[in-house]
Amino acid sequence: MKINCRINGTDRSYEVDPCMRLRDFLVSKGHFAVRDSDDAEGFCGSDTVLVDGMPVMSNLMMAGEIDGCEVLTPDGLGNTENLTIVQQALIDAGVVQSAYNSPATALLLTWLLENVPDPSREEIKDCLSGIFIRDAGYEHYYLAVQLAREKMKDGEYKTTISPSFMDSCKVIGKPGAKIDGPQLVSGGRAFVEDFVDSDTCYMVVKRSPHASAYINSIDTSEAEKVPGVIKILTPYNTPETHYMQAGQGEPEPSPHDRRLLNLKVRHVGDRVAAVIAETLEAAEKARDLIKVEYEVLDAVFTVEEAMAEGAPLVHAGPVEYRSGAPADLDEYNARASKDPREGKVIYQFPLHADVQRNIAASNRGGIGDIEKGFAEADAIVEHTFQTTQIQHTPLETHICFAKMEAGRLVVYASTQVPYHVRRICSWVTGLPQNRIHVIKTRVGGGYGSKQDILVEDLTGYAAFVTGRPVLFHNTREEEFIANSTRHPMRARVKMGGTKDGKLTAIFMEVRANTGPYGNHCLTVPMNSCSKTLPLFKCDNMAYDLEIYYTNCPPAGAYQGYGTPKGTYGLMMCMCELAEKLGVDYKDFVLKNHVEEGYMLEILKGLGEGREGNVVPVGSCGLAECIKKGCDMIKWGEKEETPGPDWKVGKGFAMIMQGSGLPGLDHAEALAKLTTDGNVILHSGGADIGTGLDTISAKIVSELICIDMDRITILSGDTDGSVFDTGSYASSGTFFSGNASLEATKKLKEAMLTEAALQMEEDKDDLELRWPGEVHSLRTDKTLSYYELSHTACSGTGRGEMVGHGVFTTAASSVPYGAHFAQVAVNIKTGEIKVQKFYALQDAGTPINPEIALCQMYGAALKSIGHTLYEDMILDEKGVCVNANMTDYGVPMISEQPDDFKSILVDVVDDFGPFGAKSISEIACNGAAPAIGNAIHDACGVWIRDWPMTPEKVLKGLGKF
Amino acid sequence: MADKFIIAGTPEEAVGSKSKDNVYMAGGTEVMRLGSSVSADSFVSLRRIPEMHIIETDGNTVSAGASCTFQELLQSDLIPGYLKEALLFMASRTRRNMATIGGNIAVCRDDSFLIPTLIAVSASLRLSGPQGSCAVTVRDYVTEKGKYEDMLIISVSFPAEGVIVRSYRSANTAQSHARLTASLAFADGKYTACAAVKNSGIYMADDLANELGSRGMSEDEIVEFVKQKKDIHLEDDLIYGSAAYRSYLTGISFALMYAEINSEINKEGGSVR
Repeated sequence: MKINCRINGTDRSYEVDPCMRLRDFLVSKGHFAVRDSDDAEGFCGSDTVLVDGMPVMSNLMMAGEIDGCEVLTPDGLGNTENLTIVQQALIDAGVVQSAYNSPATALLLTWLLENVPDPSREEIKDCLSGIFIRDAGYEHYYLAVQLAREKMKDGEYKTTISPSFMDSCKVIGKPGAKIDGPQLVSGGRAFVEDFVDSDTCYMVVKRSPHASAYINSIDTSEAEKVPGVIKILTPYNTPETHYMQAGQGEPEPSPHDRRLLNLKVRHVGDRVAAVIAETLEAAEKARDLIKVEYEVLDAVFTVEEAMAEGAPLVHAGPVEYRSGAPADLDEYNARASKDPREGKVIYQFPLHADVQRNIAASNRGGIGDIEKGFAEADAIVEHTFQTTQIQHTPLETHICFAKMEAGRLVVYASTQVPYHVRRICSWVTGLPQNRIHVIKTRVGGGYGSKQDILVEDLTGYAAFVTGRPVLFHNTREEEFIANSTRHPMRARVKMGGTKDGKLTAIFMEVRANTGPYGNHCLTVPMNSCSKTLPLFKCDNMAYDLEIYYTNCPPAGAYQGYGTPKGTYGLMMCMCELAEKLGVDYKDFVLKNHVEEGYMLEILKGLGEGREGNVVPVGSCGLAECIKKGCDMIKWGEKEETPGPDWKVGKGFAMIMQGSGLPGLDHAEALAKLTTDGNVILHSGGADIGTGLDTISAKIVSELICIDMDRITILSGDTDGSVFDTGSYASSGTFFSGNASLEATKKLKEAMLTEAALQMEEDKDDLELRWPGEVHSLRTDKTLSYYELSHTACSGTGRGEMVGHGVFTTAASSVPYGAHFAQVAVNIKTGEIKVQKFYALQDAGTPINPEIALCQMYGAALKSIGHTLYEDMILDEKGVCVNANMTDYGVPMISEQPDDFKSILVDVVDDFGPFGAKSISEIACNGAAPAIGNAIHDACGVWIRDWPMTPEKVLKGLGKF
Repeated sequence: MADKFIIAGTPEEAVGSKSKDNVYMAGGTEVMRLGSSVSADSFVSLRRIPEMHIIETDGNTVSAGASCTFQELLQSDLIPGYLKEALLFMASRTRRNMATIGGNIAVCRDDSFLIPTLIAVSASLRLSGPQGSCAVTVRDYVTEKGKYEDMLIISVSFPAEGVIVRSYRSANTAQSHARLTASLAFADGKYTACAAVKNSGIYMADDLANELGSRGMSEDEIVEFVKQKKDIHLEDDLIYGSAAYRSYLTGISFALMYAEINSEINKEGGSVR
């Protein structure tokens, strides 16, 4: 069918398949910023375009329908060099972060402001009601609209974007200038899918329909006949190398318990085979023709099932240790299954596992005398808290493009850990690391899921063995069934205290479900203790962790790691204990939280599988967060209810996290002065949309005294940067930022040394000053950076000035905070409405304050989702029955609290770059206990398993 | 290729183009959606039939063309508040720009945004097919779906006023499928009730409506009445909740709507009994 239309202001005429989805058609014509996050589910809004001036989802429209229409796509707004007011306002408000939906959002808000120049809050909310934002929350979109309106009317912003910090600095602690903002908001090439070669092949994966089964045979004969099929990978033609997919520092505290393709499938959705073909259609057709014969086995899905006597074993094969093998290992392995399809489990060092009881790892320890502590208590509470399996739902599903180029494997990855991707691709291909080049593109949402190497291993291997460029892109369903998720966990908390409001003992028993493979199996559950117990000034504390293999979809890293679950149990118990003791919860918390200088003995046993560092509490804004939050929410005051059937209540929780892993994490950066006197900084850090590159640029700007536009950050490229363990465990600002600081300090030193020679002055008399020159304090002479660098790089010079920074530390910079909720509960319908949510956090010096605030909003809203709505539901066979966005239930703008505030408490840390600590991960930790306590305050029901649903409220109220 | 995709300009053209091999496509939010209940390779697009976008009144009856989108209806002064309330159950503005009233009725989902409300107010449809045109109530259309399968919904008619209506939707999040959509209306001294219960079906709660009209009922009585109703087939549902919960929710939603309607009736000086 021939269609005539006008796209982005230009008349076009095309011959099209009229039934093709409009989105596919537009992408085929180069409008790749029209993205797809939900496989045409009509949920996320990434595919939004305007047709005849009306926002529509282009995945839900046919190409033939635009005949005679005018179409505007997000890339039809301003471009990188010429942003529109709305695009710029979105960057300035801090909402352009992982940004997969930023172009669509810019389009929607442009449309809104053209039609409603002064929109109300409700109108903005309505406009964005079809857009899913996971990273930044929605609150600053209202700010962005306000800024755009002001700019349109007055030519300048009138509203303060965010508070500023660090008065002595020019750009550190000040909002503005996210350096990748223009590229992202305008829909420039940014993500893996934007870099795929036109001759790419496509890979699809055949997945297991069974939760546990041996593969007896795989017949690919019919599949291979499909025209265009290049290769079919099966367990029979792929390496037997055992590894794991967790992106952790080597040696990893996770067992190597899988191959690329296993002969035993361990969950519904597990990989069975992979088809590489010249077209996606051919790959899918061939996949459906592969015949697999299974020997179906009994499966276990819960911790209780896994720990039962005689339970089916998820890994029944032999165990190996790379170090620290127990003396009775041979005897142990003698009891293992002899079926070679089991494979084996290899521990890098002991994690106190017992795979013959499905235990992937365990740990126990404590301080003081726990029994004595309980004996001294006037009251004790003890409850078990259950958390379910939840999914990260990044807008950009997992994707990888790999190809062989000049004998090297080049991997385009949307990853938090490019160097770990390189290492694991090296393991599975057998290529040395010098022959692998990992290019981290912009990342359309990670939240921990892209800390794991979930698609790069197989895609990299496929490109390596076929020699062809290969693209693999998870469907949304695969994100649910075949990716990593948050570990379901059961935490039994016992807590005792005295009537004068002192905690005497805390005990936590954690039983976690790691699914079929042991990614992060020890460390995630460890965090439920190591990032919670150090909040308490309590002499007697103990913990007991066991992590079980099951046949659920895999678990792994998730923003907050295990901390939200530990915090949930502990702070709910603390609230109940306060009530039991007859003391006010606020006073109870204030009396028992740690303060600066308090020695954290509890950390000794809580390392990442090794002995932990005992350190004193460093900078700590906890008390201020609690007191300020209580004032804001009017703690102790009763509020009016929205109606006779509604009850209103308040709750809060104190929270903490870390800033990377002291003693384990490692970051590097390389700063160099170009021959024209500007700076390129090569950072090993992986900016996943959180503004890490901007932090590095601000550090350079501050120290070298040049504007940000004279600085380029090249990051996350294993060829072009230097080693960094990656962006996880809240390490970005603290570790990679400090590496950038170290590199820049060394560059500055090199510049001053060189300038002293060129200016014939004493180095101590020289300074770098704005707008980018060397100045002599003694003679008042100046030397431009251009002259400095040009001379150094001339035939008689000493070469390019370079600073190489390495950052490792044993110091611990802990962010603290307190989150507050006011909820209304309808006692007839069980409906729960979060009326107010206040997130107060001590992040040290926020280097990008507007971005930091948005991350707090995003993480808090995400955790409100975990608390109230989100849950991966498995049927009795282990099939996830809600593996799509609509049924899974993520919060969107309709679910955002009416009164939502993020507050940064100003604390300067001794160890962070310019006093900064981490910001976003901690913000996942507070919602569950804050909301849970508020629900109890409202209607008297304690809900001890999330999600906290209306059904549970009604059950608690005895309604049925 | 032309047969694969037809953009109809009139209802007659649409009806004439319909065959067993193609389907009508209204807004696309169901037909084009992942997991759609409609499977087809060939389509007759209804988007550009001017007649099917008209909203008009005739006395106390409002008639809306079936291709009117949810958003077009929301922006019309002619559309009564009770229907706007139901239209807003579709939380996404972008989807409301696409989804049509006719499409929502035609797919007849058990989590329908509009059907309970339209049935409660005794709305009717004008249908057109190869054998000619006819009028049918939404209720009959839903209960005798097979009979009208190949007919095109041209317009939907419903009262402008004179009816007190309450509608209720319960879902996990605003964008989730509804576990329950229910509506209760009072007009001419009579109640009409309808509930769409996810993974169960659409129910005409005539017996409840009759009871409410004849004797009035307390909240507990309504909850208990629904619990005892044999025609609502509820089973425990992994996503949408236990049978006990959904039964209670259906009952309490009718009870709350009943109380609100009563309150409005009393405000207006009338009485149900």
